[in-house]
Amino acid sequence: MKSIFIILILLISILILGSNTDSSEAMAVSRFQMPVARYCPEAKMYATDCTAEGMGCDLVKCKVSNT
Amino acid sequence: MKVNWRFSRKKGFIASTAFVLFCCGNPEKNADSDQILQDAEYSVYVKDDFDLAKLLSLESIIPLELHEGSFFTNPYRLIVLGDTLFMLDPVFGTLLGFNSDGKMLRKYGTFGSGPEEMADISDFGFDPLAKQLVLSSIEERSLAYFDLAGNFIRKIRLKNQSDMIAVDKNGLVARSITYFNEDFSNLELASNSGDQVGLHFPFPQEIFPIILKNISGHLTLSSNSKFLFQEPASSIVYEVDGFKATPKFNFGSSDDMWPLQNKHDLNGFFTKVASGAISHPTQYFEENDDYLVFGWNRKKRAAAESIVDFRIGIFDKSTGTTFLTKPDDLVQSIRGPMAVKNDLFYFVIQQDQLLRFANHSFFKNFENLIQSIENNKKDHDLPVVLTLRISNLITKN
Repeated sequence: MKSIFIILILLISILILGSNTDSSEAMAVSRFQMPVARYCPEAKMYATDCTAEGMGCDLVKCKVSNT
Repeated sequence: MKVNWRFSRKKGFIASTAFVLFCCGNPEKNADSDQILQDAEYSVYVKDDFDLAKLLSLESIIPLELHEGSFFTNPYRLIVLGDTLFMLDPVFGTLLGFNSDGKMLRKYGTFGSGPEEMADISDFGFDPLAKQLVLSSIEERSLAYFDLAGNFIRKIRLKNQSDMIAVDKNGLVARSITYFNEDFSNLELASNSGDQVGLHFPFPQEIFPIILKNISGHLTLSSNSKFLFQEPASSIVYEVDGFKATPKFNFGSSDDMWPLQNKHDLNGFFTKVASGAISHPTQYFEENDDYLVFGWNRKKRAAAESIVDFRIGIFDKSTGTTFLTKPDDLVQSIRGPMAVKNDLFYFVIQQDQLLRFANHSFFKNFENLIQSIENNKKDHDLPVVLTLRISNLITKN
């Protein structure tokens, strides 16, 4: 009886930890897809790219469905 | 009797737990949720425009000199401490210190994922109590502390990412935690050990998040060493003292502006800005005891080709008067970042642009220095710092 109780606690702990990890990963993925808006002086226009760095002023508009 | 005793003991336990939870809570969190429509301390009404040289006088030009192998092209934050200029390029993840002649002193932080390294540097501030620079990483959700000599001191991990930070005189850190966090608030205050001590500017859960810090919205220090914060699609600058956010500057204009009640429609704001349909404060402003100096993007003029019309605005706090620069191609190039130290305002212009406008009347008396910059020009573009003083037109107003 005691061992079943311990196993149950372990299972619940794994479930809780698992759900936390999922939430953290989901946040990371969505953060990478969060559009970063900027002004492009060369093109004299505004643009958004989908990562915070590395894409400069590429005119890549994030789709709402991606986030 | 026994049953009653057990029942009341259970009730007592629940009541005690509730009392402890209540006492341990943070009563100041979200304290400003009903302040959106409050009148601001100052109304900044943007209307008349003047020649740049009538509003600001050029005190000095500081061309920056980098160590071999260092790169710096996209200045975002500039902080002036004593004779040292600290400037951040978040794209290259480079935070550099320069002396008052513009010579590079050192680089802060090393790129990497190690315990003393930075995955990126989204912003930085200065903790005057610890005399340390505080660097924020948006990817790692951390704050790293470095002494002014460039030595790593410590790093703290945080629950939320931050794209902008500021540190007050007590070491309290204000962090713009973007529109993607599970606290559903745009500004977090944290102690110097990383504990969350306040949340301000709540937003609805269904918001579509965009990082707009390159266009509008800013976090800096006020002249009272409190925080000044403007949400990206809002025309109100709040002063935040840790427990309360109070509207300080409320921008207004005869031009169309983005409605305050739509401040959480970030995509709608961006779409309007990108079409040139509205006037709005840009991403930089700084305040001293007498003035607020700010960037302003006027809505597209009917005959203009460009959808942007950047101006520099100066608000005189003693008279409540606002001065705006006239349309000027030079002003398009000196939009920011900006910093303030006493009565001097610091702006940044790229070296190529400075040379392009070398014959502009604003640079008269600096021909020799600009010629020397031209002669020593390297292959890559570099920022140049301009120190400016509010001109007589305003001070005598």
